Amino acid sequence: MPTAASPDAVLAALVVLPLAATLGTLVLPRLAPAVATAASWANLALVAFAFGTIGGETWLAGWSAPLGIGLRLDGLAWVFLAFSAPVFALAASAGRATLAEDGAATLWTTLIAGVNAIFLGADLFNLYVGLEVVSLSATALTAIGAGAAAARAALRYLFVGLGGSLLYLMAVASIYRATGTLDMGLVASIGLQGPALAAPLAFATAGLLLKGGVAPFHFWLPPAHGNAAPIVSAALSAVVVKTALYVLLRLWLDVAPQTALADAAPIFRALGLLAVVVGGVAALRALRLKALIAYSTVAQLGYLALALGFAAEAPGATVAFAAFAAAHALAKSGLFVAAGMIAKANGHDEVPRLADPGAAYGPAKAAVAIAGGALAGLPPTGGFLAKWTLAQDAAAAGAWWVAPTLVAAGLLTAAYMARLATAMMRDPPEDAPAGEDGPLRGWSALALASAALLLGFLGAPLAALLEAER
Amino acid sequence: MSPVDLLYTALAVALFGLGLGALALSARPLKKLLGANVMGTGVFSLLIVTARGPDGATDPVPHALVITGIVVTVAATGLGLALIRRTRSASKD
Repeated sequence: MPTAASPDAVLAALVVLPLAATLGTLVLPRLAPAVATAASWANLALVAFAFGTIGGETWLAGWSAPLGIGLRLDGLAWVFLAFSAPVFALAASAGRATLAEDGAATLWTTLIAGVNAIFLGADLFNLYVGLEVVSLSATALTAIGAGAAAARAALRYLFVGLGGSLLYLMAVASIYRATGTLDMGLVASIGLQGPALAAPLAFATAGLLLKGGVAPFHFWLPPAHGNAAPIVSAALSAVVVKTALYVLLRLWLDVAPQTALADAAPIFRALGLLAVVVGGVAALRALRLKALIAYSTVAQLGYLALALGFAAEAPGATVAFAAFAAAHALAKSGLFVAAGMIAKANGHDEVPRLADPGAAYGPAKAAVAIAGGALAGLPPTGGFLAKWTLAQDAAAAGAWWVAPTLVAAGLLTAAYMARLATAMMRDPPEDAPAGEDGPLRGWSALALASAALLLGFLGAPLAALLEAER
Repeated sequence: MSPVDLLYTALAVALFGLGLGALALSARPLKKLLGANVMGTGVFSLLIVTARGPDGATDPVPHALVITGIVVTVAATGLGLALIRRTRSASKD
């Protein structure tokens, strides 16, 4: 890979820039929403610039392993940064009112810093700190401007986050005890075996599945995602749950030996199938619009678990994992922003009573349609690319049942998204609250959903990016 | 591993388990929050035992991890208490 810029500066800047913005929001409280929005866009520009430093790594303060903390940017890390950054930037632009709430802008930039630190993290303990920063700022964001229901959901979210983080920390402590290092590469090269490997893997996997909202550990997700402000819900379901599953993937791919992943694969496949069914059925029955979208997240996270279940046999499953994560992040954040507008225009968010919000909401309605297609995995969206890649890899590994399962899951997705589409065809009631909701929001939602569509055309570069490292 | 190290390790694991039990099973938010704190104390104890090398030398890395962990725990506990208070004041409305 060409290195035009020094990776040291770029990788450190990805963490330092949002943190500096956090300080900025505290120093200039009146300008806080503007600072957070500008930082979100600067972060996007920085991620784009970092493409030139893929393959680079840096050791903070010049201390190398085993003592120092490393930041590493490989293809996988860049892909995760690249779908998260536009979510933050467009959601910040769409939700200026939310960011103007007390403390929201500060939490937003802190969240970005934590997310970037996780994607770049090469050190097991630094990943713990990143997970906690993300978890605490996300929890506080869900409680912004909220009533009792949201506070209760936020509290439950906090407990799940804390429990998951501490299970992960227990794993980190056991690994340090056995190896004397926290660097993921060094731990892998030491080659732990037996209980010294199985115990930390079990603790970390349980904690990360809990934080990642993979069924049957999804109980906390719909209330937390369904009660927050639209842009917070967008960031939570697009990026925050993915951070835990990203660490899970790293752990099994980069730290554990391949044989261990092969042994655990049936568990991930079973959990993935369970999530697809449980989430899909619940989305079909959900009364409230945001609950429908949140249960859809539960179902889509199942695809990630399923892809992880094939990563030992098929290297392409990592491509499917990244494609599912990216397609879901872009489509779901667009859907949450658009749904927030449609619910506001209707004055309520009960799916059976929702109606067409009117011609002024063209971009938002288009965003719902495109995001629905991407979530259902219709060609040529990113969702289709992900399913196609996974089905091929699974078939090559002898799992014939995956392709029909993915088709059936797509039909289930189409069925619950159709509930939303029919609502858009109903005539608005006479007493619907009039008023336009700022065109910027609708266009932001449409831009996110369109990115999920465009991703479908990027299959070859995505695979090249991920396979360059392995 | 010396008998003392073994005892501390066993206590650390027991604390972790007790805290996890309270966090998962208790119905009261305050008890859950304290459970998470006890869980954290269990991990920190384990790290402190780890810091004691076989020849009596001390490894500073686990100490640094524990200090960082305590800072995180304080922040999380503060957030938890603030949220608990908000659910209570909201339910009185």
